[in-house]
Amino acid sequence: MRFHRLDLIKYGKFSDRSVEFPAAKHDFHLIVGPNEAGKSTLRSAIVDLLFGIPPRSVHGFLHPLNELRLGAYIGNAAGTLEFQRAKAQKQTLRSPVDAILSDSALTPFLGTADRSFFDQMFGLDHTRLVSGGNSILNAENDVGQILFQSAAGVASLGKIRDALVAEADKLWAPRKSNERAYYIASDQLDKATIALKEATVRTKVWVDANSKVESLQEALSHERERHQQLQIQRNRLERIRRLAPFLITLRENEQKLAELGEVIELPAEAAATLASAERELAIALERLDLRNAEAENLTEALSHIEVDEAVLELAADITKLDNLRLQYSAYEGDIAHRKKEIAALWQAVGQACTQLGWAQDSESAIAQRLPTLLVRRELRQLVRDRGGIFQTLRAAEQAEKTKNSEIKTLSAQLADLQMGEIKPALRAALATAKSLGDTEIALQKRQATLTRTKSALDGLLLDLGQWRKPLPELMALQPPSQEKLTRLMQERQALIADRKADLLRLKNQTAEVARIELQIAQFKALHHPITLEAVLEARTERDTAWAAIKTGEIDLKREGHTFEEKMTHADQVADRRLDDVEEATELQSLNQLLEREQQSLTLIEGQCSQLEAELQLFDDRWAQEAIGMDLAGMNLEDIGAWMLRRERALSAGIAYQDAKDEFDSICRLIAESRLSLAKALQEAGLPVVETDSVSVLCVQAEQHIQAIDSAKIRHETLSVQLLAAQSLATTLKQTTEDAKAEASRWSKAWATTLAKTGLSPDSDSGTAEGALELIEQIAEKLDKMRQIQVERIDTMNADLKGFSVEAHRLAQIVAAELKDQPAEQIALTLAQRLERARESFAESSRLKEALRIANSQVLEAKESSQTAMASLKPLLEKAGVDTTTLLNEAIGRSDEQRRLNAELAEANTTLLNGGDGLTRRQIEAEIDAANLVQLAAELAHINAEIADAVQQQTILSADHANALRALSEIGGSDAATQAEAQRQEALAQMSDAAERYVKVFTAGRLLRWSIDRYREEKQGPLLQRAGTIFSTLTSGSFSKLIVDFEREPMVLEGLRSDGKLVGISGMSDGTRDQLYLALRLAALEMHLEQAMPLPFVADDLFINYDDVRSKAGFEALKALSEQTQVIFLSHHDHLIPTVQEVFGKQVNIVLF
Amino acid sequence: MQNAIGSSVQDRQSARRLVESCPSTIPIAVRVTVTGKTAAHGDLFGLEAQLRAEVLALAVAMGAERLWIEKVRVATSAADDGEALRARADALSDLQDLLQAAESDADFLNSLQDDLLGLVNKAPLELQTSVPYFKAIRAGDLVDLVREVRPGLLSHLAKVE
Repeated sequence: MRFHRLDLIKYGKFSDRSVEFPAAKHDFHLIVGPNEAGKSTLRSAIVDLLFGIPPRSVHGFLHPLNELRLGAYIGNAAGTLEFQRAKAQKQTLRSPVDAILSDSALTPFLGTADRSFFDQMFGLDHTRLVSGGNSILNAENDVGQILFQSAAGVASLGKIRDALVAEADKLWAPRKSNERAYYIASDQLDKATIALKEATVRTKVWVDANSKVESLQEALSHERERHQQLQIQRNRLERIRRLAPFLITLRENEQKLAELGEVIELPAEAAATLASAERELAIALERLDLRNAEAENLTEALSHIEVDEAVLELAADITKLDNLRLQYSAYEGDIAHRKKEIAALWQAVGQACTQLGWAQDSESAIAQRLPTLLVRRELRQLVRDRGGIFQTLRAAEQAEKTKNSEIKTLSAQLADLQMGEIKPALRAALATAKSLGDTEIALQKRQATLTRTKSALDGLLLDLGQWRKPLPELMALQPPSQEKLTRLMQERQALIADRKADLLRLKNQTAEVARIELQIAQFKALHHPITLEAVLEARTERDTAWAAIKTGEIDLKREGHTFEEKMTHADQVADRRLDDVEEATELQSLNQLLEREQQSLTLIEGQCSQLEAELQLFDDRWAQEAIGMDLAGMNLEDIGAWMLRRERALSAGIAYQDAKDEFDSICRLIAESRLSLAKALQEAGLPVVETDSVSVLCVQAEQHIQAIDSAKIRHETLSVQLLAAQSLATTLKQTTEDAKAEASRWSKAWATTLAKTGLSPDSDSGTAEGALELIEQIAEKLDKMRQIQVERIDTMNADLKGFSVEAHRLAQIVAAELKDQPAEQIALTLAQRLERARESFAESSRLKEALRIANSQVLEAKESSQTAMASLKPLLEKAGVDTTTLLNEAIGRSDEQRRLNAELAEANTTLLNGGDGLTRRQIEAEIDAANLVQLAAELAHINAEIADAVQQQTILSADHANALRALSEIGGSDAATQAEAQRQEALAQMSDAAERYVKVFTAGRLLRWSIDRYREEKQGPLLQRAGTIFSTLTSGSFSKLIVDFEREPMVLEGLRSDGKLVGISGMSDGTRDQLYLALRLAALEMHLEQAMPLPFVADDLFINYDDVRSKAGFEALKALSEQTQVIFLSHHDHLIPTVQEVFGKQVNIVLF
Repeated sequence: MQNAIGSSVQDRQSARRLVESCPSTIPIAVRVTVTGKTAAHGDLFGLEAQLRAEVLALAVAMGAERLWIEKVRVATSAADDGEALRARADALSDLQDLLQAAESDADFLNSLQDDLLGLVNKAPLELQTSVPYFKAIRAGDLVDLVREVRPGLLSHLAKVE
């Protein structure tokens, strides 16, 4: 099957995106896009399209999950199909028009491939490639596993097998271990078996223990019964002791009641009633006597009293009259006093009139003459206004005057103000001078620097010694370069070293020659060797003698013996030499050695002198050179240090020059600045003293500028003030005019009002004010006079008249004899009579009241005595007696009977309550039967017996509990059951472990066996094909893959082109990945030979490859692309040329 | 794995019914056998121990006093008898054929028997009857055992990637 087109309709970040895959001979398609472009999405889209979109897809972030949709146009040899894949629970295959397609519609194209198989077999990415490479490294020693893993795309075969082996080992192995499930369970089984044996019960022990428990149980219940009986007995005795006294009381009371006989029963309170009635009766009788006497006394006193009724009837009028008398008694004096007041007022009016120049006529005439209130008010108002109006006028005039004088002053100040203009040149000169700062200090600082640098320079120049020169010469000096110096030094050093070495050799050689000479001398002294020369000499002497003999020079006879001596000597010498040939040889060799050494000595001497000459030549050359540099006498060794000192002197010279330049420039600057400042000041018309420094000139200029500036500011301020004052003056003038108009208006009104008042028209305001005051006084006093007359005097006269009339009227009624008396006398007398009448009336009333009370108390006493008698009446009737004495007796008997009955009932109740539920008859029978005297002794005996019973019970209970525990320890626990249960549990676990072991172990063995078989069957063709691809991938670096069958275990190796074998662990990571890729591709190719082709999707496989390896990789894929469609995803666009190179220019490249 | 848990849910319900229907004085011994055709056959092969632990935990949760799990057996079979696997025609299907061939390889069977006899001979008497494989191993009849293990192993391999 191949894709003709893939549609990303709604999937991941894509909407309606289509990718075309046109068919070609090499069905290879490169999809290139940067990271995040969606290549991985495309890869998962292919899988989802073919096998369905998973329920929880991660590609639903842009489109809703249920709307995800993919489409494709696919085809193979059998046909083509255009379809879409929807996201749904079922029926997800759709036609392009959304008609539902059968789920098996893709079967002709996919065969039986499922999602994981497709992904494993036809999908390969970088991660999987690397993990595949690692897995074949891990399985290095297992060729079968390598082949299988690579072929199946299953990277974890080794892991599965290891897991199976590990699980089997955990379950069981021949060696016992606490880690293994089987042996853990086995241990539990052993323990449970032992526990089971221990828990088995023996019968006899159990029977014994059981019977002991039973017998003790019986004894215990017997003892409990005895204890109960004793308790009952003790209870009975205690009851008798408790109840006997009550029974005796009961019986005594019954007897007394019988003796009392028939008794009339009276109420319990009868005695009390009788006593209280008798007491009340006595009290009532006593009180009756007392009250009767009192009433008689009162009646007597009442008959002596008399009351003046007539006066009492007019009591109100008389009292009122007397009050009026008291009230009016002061009226006479008051009237006189008022009249005096009026006279005084009148006198004052008269004085005022005199002042006003008026005649003091009558009161009414004066009143007539007074001006009206309105006129007076108007005049007063005018007087009040006058002050304000004239005040305003004066103030306005004053203000105007002040303002005018202020304007004048300001104008004068303005005129006086000295104005001037500051030229920019002065400001500029000042700024320049100030920018120099404190010139003195700056100058001093530069001077100090200059001195310091100068002394430093002098010191350094001194250091230069005899070669000291002026700076320019020093600078012009061209000393040899450091390199040259170094070379020269090295050369000289070498010469000196050579010379030294040669001198040493010479010394040694001379010593050697001397030594050999000494050796020869000693040898000669020791051996006296005959040298060849001595022999020759002897022979020459002999021969000379013989020749002389022959020639006859010498006489044979005479000189014959000499010849013979010489001949003998020559022979002897020759013989001795022959005898001493060894010594001679040694001497010869010594002589030869000496010669050799002497020759060497000569040679060395020659060399020495040559070196000397060279050194001299070198030094001469240097001396010449030094003279050429004007440094005559300078040693080569010293020139380096001297040059350093020269450098330092030169830099000090430069520093000095800099300091000097700086000093000069600042001096120049200061002078220039002073000049320009002085010029500017002179131009500004200021005197300049020639000796003033820049600072002084600066201060002068600053003061000048400041003066001009402040004058300018002052001028502005004054101008503003003048302007304000002028505008204010105008306003003030207007105000003054207004005030004047107001004053004239007032004067007019003043004249008019004066005329109305009747004052002279020329009166000033003071006069008018005084007149007004007098008029007011007159009006006031007149008013007051009128008021006193009307309100006081007239009123009092009317009152006095009314009083007199009333007094005479009353006198007419009650006391005609008084009618001629003055009214005051009448009033006084009548008042006294009224007082007396009132006193007698009050006394009579009091007596009457007392009498009434006494009479009512008499009645009350009578009622009390009757009530007391009535209360006794029912008791008397019930008792059937008629006197209180008899009644008293009857009551005593009744009370006695009641007391006895109560005691009886109480005793009876106590008896029954304490009787433990027995009836009185039973109790009586019990008590009568008992011997009360023996009771205490019997009780003590029974208590002792009960204590004994309790102790017996305690002992028996303890024994019983012990016996019971012993029994339960024997047979009561379920230990045996539990042990058996644990045994079964352990057996179940062992069985489980064994069963699982058999399965897991078998599975592991099966897997091992089948992988070996797989290798045997497949290694031939698979390895051959993989070797070819591997060779392509490694660009021929490896020629093929080989399995070494001789080794155990067998190993897979690569054969290098140079015939060397490389194991998997010897390969680099990249090569191992290539090996895995080769195996995968080989397996895929073999698979495709017998199965339906499906597209192979490679995702960034060559991410770490260089261009050569990448090209080799594409070559390998080229072979695959002839068999099936290959879709290659990459984010490297630099692969495009490589792909085009391998597949040709027409290859399909999709830019994503 | 999901299927394993799913069946546990059903187990839980049936186990609870079982516990409720018995009188409280009688403890219940249970042997759990997982049967049926399932796509999880391969998973169950690898997770037998985990499944046993889960069932035991379930029993404890229901009351360890009442319910005793004697054994948990997995006797499932693959959903499709390996037909789909064979149709893949890849290395796994080759392996399937090879595993089948193992049944008739006498050498392999003998060697397997030798190894397993180590366990069988050492096991106590009680186990000889309670482990069904032991009799066959002693008799040397291992074909059934291999046949039983094979599909589980294959499914396991196909599932694990």
